[in-house]
Amino acid sequence: MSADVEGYRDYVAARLDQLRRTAYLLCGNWHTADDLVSTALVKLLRHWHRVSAMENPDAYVRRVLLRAWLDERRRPWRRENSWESVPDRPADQAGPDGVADRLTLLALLAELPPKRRAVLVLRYFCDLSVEETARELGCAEGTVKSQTARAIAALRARLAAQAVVTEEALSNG
Amino acid sequence: MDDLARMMRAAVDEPPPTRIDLHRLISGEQRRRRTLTWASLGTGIAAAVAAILVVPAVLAAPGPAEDNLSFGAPTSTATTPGTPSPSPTLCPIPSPSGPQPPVQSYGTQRFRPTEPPEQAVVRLTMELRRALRDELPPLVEAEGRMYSGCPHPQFEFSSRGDYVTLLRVVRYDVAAYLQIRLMPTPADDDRGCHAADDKDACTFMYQADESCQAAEECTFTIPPENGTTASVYEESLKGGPRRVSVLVRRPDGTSVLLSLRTEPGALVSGGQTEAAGKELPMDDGALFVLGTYPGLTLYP
Repeated sequence: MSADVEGYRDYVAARLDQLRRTAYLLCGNWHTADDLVSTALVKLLRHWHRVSAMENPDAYVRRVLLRAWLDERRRPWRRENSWESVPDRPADQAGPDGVADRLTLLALLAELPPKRRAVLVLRYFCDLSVEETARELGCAEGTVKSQTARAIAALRARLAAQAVVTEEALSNG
Repeated sequence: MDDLARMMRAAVDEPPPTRIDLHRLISGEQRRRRTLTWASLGTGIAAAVAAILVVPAVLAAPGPAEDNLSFGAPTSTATTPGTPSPSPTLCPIPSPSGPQPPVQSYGTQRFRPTEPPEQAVVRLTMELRRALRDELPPLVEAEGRMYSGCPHPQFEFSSRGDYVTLLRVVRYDVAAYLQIRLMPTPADDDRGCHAADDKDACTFMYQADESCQAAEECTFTIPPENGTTASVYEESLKGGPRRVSVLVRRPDGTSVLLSLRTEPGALVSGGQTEAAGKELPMDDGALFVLGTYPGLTLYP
């Protein structure tokens, strides 16, 4: 058991940072991200003996993390109200450190349906292929492709709309 | 979409320090495994003892068992024909201190649960322990704090006809008291918070708990799902403690009231007690999950 725990500890130490970042992109909140990762890590520990023998334990952990987040989202009191539009944010308020850009990205991601957001995070942050993403989400590859295309189209539309708002704000200001 | 990948990486390039304590997570899980092992062992022994005691009595019984349960009788009379054999891990159940209230005082059009209280206590206690085992969030542990001093999670039957239990729940250094009360849903429930958002309407729920004052804040009502509705209340009490209550109304006519509150001295840090804080070891979502556990019903 102790050898198992040491292996688990080493594994988690190497992946914790990446798992937290992935969870944050999914839920948009570091506090919730830590809770989701905790949930995933507890489940991982319970099945560590089996998971450690897997070819790709990372995929298992990501699946548990995704499921924890989707379960959390399904709870009725967690349903977020989508914003009708991204908050107006003129470019001169962006600041030098790109904080506004990050907030914009998170707001845009938050507008997407959970599975679409998960598809984007897995594909563009975790660098998974369409096939791997489909396997982790338990859906067809075609679904991943269509969800990706729709999510990107939605992001483009939102970004374009925001650019117009920013230009108007600058010209008025 | 290289831009998207770049923006995502930029959005998470400065994560705050994590709250995850890996050492505590591992030790908590090891403790849970030990508890489960002992509980399984205890249950196995209890089942064997019960079988040894009950089987001869059943074989010797001349005919159908007579239902001779008396109201409030202690369930330790396990060999009585017609009664379920309670697990020896149950604490002695105190008799209700007064007569059963008249049906009219319930304000309910539903039938009073017909299950004898001493049987219901055993059944509900088993369901409660299963719910705590299966549905508590990770790293949250619960122990019994029944009013009569039982160290295990266990329901008791109150003289008002409700079933109530008091638990202590802990997550990391944060501890709180959780009261779970099962009662028939009042017939005039429509004046409750699920029908109105104003906080005055929320006071109705505290008719179920005379020690409570009217809610200072009424947060929101969970929309019905599968016939189940729930109201969530959050309030700050005098002296600093905080309470979150969830009232779940199940479609079978059972209302489950779960009140989680910090208590002065309930926070433990390094073996020291501290003043009450605002943090609670569970959130309203976890309370809702417990309240909707299938077995926690007065109408099995």
